[in-house]
Amino acid sequence: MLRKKKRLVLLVMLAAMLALAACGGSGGGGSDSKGGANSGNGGSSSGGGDQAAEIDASKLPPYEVILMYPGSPQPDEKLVEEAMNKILKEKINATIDIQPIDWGAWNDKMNLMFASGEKADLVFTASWNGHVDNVTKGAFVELDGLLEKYGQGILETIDPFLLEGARVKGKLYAVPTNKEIAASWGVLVRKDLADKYNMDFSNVKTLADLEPFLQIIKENEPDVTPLFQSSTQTLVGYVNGYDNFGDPGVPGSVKFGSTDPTLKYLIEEPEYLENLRLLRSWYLKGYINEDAPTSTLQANETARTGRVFMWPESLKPGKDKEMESTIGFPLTQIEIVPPYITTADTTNSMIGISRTSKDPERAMMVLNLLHTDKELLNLLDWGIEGVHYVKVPGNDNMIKLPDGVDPSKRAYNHGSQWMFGNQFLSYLWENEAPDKWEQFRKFNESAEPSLSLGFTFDPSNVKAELAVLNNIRDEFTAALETGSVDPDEVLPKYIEKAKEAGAYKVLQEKQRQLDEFLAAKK
Amino acid sequence: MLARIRAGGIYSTHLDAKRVNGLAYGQSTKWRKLLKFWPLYLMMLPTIVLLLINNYLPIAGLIIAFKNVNYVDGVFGSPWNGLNNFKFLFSTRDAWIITRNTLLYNAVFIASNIIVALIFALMLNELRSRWLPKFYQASMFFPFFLSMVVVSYLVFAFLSKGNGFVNNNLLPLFGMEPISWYQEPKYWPFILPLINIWKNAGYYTVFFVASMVTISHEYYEAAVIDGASKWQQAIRITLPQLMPLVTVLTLLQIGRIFYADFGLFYQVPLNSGAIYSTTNVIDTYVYRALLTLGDFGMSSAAAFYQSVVGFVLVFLSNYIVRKLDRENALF
Repeated sequence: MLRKKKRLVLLVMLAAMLALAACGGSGGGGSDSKGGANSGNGGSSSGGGDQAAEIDASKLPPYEVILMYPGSPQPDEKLVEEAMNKILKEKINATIDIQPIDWGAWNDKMNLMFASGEKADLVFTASWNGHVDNVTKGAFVELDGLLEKYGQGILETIDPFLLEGARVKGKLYAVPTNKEIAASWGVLVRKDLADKYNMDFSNVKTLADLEPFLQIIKENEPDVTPLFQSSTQTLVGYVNGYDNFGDPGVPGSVKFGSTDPTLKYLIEEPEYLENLRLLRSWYLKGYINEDAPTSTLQANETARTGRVFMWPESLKPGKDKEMESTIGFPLTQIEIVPPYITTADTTNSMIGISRTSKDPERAMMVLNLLHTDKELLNLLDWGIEGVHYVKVPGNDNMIKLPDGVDPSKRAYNHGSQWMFGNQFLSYLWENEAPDKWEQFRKFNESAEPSLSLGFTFDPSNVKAELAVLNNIRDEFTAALETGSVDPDEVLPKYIEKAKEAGAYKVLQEKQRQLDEFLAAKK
Repeated sequence: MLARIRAGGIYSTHLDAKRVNGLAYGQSTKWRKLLKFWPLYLMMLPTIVLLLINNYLPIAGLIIAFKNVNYVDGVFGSPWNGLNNFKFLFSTRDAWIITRNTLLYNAVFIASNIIVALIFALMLNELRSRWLPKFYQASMFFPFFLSMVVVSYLVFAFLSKGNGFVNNNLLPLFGMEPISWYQEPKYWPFILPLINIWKNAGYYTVFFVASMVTISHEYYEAAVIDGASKWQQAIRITLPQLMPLVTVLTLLQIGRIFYADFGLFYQVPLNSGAIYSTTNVIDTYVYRALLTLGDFGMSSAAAFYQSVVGFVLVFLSNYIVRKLDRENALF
């Protein structure tokens, strides 16, 4: 018995030694990339366009840039890579390796990649994808210097608000996709049903204004749910008019359009309770699907069945037309909260350079080309002309499927175009509005920056409280916001429990960081 | 076993002379054994290496539970974080609820799985037909292979408020009002064990049926001669013979008593907030807490806590079993 124990101890020691040896290796990799980041830092202080380096492809050693993004692998990926490589070889002597990772595995794969030091260069990231957390953990290279040197094309074309919003504590760690910079909030509505009952939405200003329309549908269309909600997609959650800085789980929001930087705890605001009471009355009247608090269905999946009249959405110009093709019914959109530029909107699609990149400078050059080189971007977006798409005769910017290609069996159709480069360079499909990008520009110009644009909350000091609050939030919000429970009875319990778990400690920490941010901004 | 006998056979003749020598030297018997059975040890080597890599090497990673991990410094270079990673598990009034739920549900699961499986196995054992036991066994085994996501939809088909079988077809028979199952915590301590039995009992039945085959027929023949009834045979012969297996199965499960079946507690109640008081367990709590935070340290802390408690419980229960009946103890 004793001997056995000794042997066991030996085994454990051996295991520990092996593990230590392994860590020594990864430690070395870490300091390596630090060097890369520092060399990037060097240029950040120097301003002005004259610092941009001239790129001479012949002097650069060949390098393969790995692009990782969430999406399903495409059958014709190799063909597209070859076509892209022709351009990249000539311009910066680089090749590209596209590595899409299935959505389901994306988070694990990405964490593993950062933690193990596996090589990657350009990596998709977003505020909703743990960007700030990954930056604090040191996953991304700091980009300001690199951008000055090799990203002039990006600096010239991108909306400055986007770059401002993407900064984490004043520094840039990822370049946003050049696209719409704001979101407005409202609902999507089935246009055929609206027309049938001559509905006029022009006077809708608040949630309560929607009630008459829901009533008409409830009375006349027994098979159609007037308002579809799910546990993650609720009217109050979407259309509340508050900026929650991208994470509704962290207490502390600012009202859109307000100049007062005092953070409010949304669930304690009187108008939140008002809205909940409204939704509760709708639920009791049968305007809302009964399984809403437990449903995890996306509204657009359910809408495809034709049994839904209205559902909450985040909006942008042409959102209704964009969704029509997937849903199969004519749609129209009602904007209730006008567009504001928030940190969450400017950071919802970005590409960063991983600390495991062996050549961050070359990665930045490729990123720069994706923002400036129309041919390269469209290869990545839509594939090869004549194979995966053809141009609409007479319009150089419009494309359609080649004759005889089954739309459901396209060999290069990743649907991730919104993740890459400069969207304004991307071709439009035949059914889209020819002036879509023009509308986007107008939308961007009309949007107002939120007071706290560029502010991101660093949760490290209050992680334990947040972990507890996440549970409490899950316990109450879906039930309350779908209207399935009585807010006058349940909301006070929610508030009491959240306060007990330290909601105000988090709120104060957030306020402190916001005050610091605003002071530094001035 | 067979392999060992064969290998031993081959080498025993070959090494006969040395064996005599070995007796004289005494101390070196161990080495000689190693020499004698070296092909067997060689065959064992890949498995040992695999065990080391898969089960022992990651033990070093336990220190993540006490660290504030970042990618630049790596796992071992990151700064220490004391016990802060454990705070979220205990600094809430839900701590009591999740611990109670995890322990009670699992205790009920362990007991009910084994009792129900034993009853099924005894009944299957009495069937005279050749193919019926096979059929019953297979159909009982089937739910074990279903993913919890599928199970959750099956349950939803029963319990859904608007279209569910229970609310639409069953309750009206008794003149009862429809019930919002996913909003009422009080029903779930009955629903969850039921689902668990339905899903797992077949699996354990297979164990017991297989074990019953090994019981010698002589016992039963002797019992029949003594005039024992079927019931007496089952209670006095079959059950005692199965006891070692029952103990081993129970001990193994007690080691995991702090790990809840995530699918059962997360998917099946459809993550409905209103019934957390009877469906929230440690695993679901940790999942909800860290889904958006993505903190390695805190999730390792939770796993650390679970495994330490499981480890202690296994030793404790084995100790008790050994006190009661040395034969049945695991180690």
